[in-house]
Amino acid sequence: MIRRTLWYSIALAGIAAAAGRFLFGLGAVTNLTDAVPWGLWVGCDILIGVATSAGGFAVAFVIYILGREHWQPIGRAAILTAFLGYAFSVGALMIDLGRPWAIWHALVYWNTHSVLFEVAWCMMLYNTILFVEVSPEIFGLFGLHSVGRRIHSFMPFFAGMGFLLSTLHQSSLGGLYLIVPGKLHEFWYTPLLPLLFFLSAVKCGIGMIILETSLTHGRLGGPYEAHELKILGRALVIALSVVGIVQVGDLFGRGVDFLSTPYEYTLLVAELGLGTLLPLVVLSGPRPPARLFTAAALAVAGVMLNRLNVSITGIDRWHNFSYVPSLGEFAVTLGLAVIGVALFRLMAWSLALYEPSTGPRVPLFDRVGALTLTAALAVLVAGAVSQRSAAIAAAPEVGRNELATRPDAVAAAGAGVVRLDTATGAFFPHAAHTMGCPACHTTDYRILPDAPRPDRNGHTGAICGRCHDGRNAFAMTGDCRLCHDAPGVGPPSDASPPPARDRDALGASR
Amino acid sequence: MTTASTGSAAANGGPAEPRGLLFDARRCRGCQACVLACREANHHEKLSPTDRLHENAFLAIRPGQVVAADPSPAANAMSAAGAEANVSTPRPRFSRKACMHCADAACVSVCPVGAFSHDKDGAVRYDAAKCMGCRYCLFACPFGVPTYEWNSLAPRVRKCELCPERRAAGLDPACATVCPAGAITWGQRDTLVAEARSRITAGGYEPEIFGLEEAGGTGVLIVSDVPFAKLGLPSGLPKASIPNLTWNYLSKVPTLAGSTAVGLAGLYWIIRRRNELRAGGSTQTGAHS
Repeated sequence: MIRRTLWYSIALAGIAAAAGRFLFGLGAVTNLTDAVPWGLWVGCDILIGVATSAGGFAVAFVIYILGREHWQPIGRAAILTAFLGYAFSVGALMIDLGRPWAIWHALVYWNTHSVLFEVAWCMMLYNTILFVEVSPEIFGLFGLHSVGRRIHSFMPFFAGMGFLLSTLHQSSLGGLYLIVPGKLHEFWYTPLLPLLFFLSAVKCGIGMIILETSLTHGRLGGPYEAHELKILGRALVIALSVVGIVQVGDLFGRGVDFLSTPYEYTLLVAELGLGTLLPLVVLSGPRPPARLFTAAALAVAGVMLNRLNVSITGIDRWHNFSYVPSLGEFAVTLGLAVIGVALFRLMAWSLALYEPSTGPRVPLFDRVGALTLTAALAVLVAGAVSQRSAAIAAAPEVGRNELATRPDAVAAAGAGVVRLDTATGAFFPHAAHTMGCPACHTTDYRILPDAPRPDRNGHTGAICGRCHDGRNAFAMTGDCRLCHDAPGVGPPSDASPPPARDRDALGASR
Repeated sequence: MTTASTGSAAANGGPAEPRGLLFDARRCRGCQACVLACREANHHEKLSPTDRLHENAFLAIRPGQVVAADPSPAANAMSAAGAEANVSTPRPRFSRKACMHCADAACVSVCPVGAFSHDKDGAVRYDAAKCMGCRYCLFACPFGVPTYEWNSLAPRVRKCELCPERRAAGLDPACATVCPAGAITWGQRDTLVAEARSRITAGGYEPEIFGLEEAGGTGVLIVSDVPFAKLGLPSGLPKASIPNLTWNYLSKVPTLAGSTAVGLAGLYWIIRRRNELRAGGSTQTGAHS
């Protein structure tokens, strides 16, 4: 009961945050800024959502291209997971886009040089195929079995298209980050980004199939597909090894400097250690269901961490660690995830994806597994938080000129009217000149050489004429008494400020 | 289907006579007249007394670091007394933070709907009507230039477009027109490069022109008497065009797609054939392994 309340609360919080975004704008709900335009919703919801849906195209390939029909039960669940995973990503996208009503523009306005254009099209087409792949079950619900069978006969074609489109957009999501070599940390910026994203997506997909098959047995009473899971275990070992070799080989091949940025290094080690090395260690001995489950969970978590590292950790230093996701961003992310899982349970039940299994439940957790996962999480969180704090403390102060940020410094300094020249009676009223102290002063308030000074000829362009040229301020060809009060020139009734623009240069109206 | 720009200046070849700005950080006083003029020229919302100058501004004057030993040319020109009194005055420097109008702009290449384009002067323009708010342009710009209307319900990207209405009327952009220090000059890029070189040769400047080759060359050139990093300008920018970084990958996608499709079709056909032969060659349907 408590758990049910918790899920409902999270889902409601997500809906409320999304509503807030649409009522008050992105700025009101997120911590996104011009320097950090992509945050949790892009890095987590979209990137992780797509990576964890990779199981769908992998299993469809195995069933319909390789012809292994007995993977069908797993396949149905994997495709449903993929469908919901993409729905989660697209839902987050619609919330994240600034002008979501214009999302159809990608259909008619083409920029074939943009990786995001390619991603958009591949995802649109792939989501269509996913829907088609799920549709026979849905048609079955309404008794339209013949329609379902007709669609099913084209499955090899859809599976092939799905494999192709998935390969393209899984790698292109990595390709998005090729454009920012100066921004993304060298641990994750590599020309191999598209390849790494594709390989890790396959790894994530295999891990997800293991997890969801195990969980539907453990939580929803479906069958434990021991034979297929054994094969998946072997496939996972291969995938982990390939990803590990390519990623580590690339790091050494590029000669990255591992030790000078401890924060990013901690997260890189976490990603490789917890997400690649540790699952390989877990899988190196006998593989009872619990070990397989633990290894798959670590592998999937490792890919999630990779996506977060590429999108958030890797650019953290560039914007001076200024971004932490807001509560609203977390709420939408968690809310969508909870709703996605709930929809999976609902659809798995209503579409009868599983033959209920008889016999005992296979244990998915053993003590070693649970301990490993908990320890991994604790090490990751503690390491990341402490290292990030240390990095923030060590970061150089962003250069600031304090004078430029104190527009009222004139009044604060009590600077009044300065007599520039007794012969001509030229004077300089500070109150009229509030464009900012650095225009004429150094940081320790000494006068700059070409500021108005008592021994200068103010009418030359280099001094007062810099601004009093008729454009930025009134020209010096009018009433002399605006700046002079010597005998013969005629004093103004008081040393009041000459008529100026109706706004000062800092924008405050007079 | 309408096709917008091909999304790459390199593909288009670029304008014959690009024009741009020369910003002289040695002359800039940080008086922010340009910021004000930009706001007026671009029809920003009327300023109220509680507005900060940089609210919604997309031309900002960014304070750099205070640097010592500033022999200002104006001081030397005036009088000996003035010069020796001020020759080592630390003075803050400022740099212009606004669109650099790259010759082959990252934003033009990354926008999925082609909302960015180069106009006939090479300036980078933005069309809000096409925009769907993905913000890839904000992410991709190596100078961190585009600003976003985060508090709007129909947010636009805002950035310097070099005052297209003023240019169409034969005027210079507002910032260049108003700068009282002569720090901003508008003109043909070749002319500006020559002017920059002559200032450097005359002495008192860093030997490089920022923007000559950075990011493949930018329409806004910067000269300075202090190192560019002290102005807050990004260092380590590639001297090559940024869009090539993704084009190197994207151009291979059709080949990748084609060969994958052929491979899948072949694999499918081979396996089906093998299964058919197996099934036909035995008295029972073969068990799939």
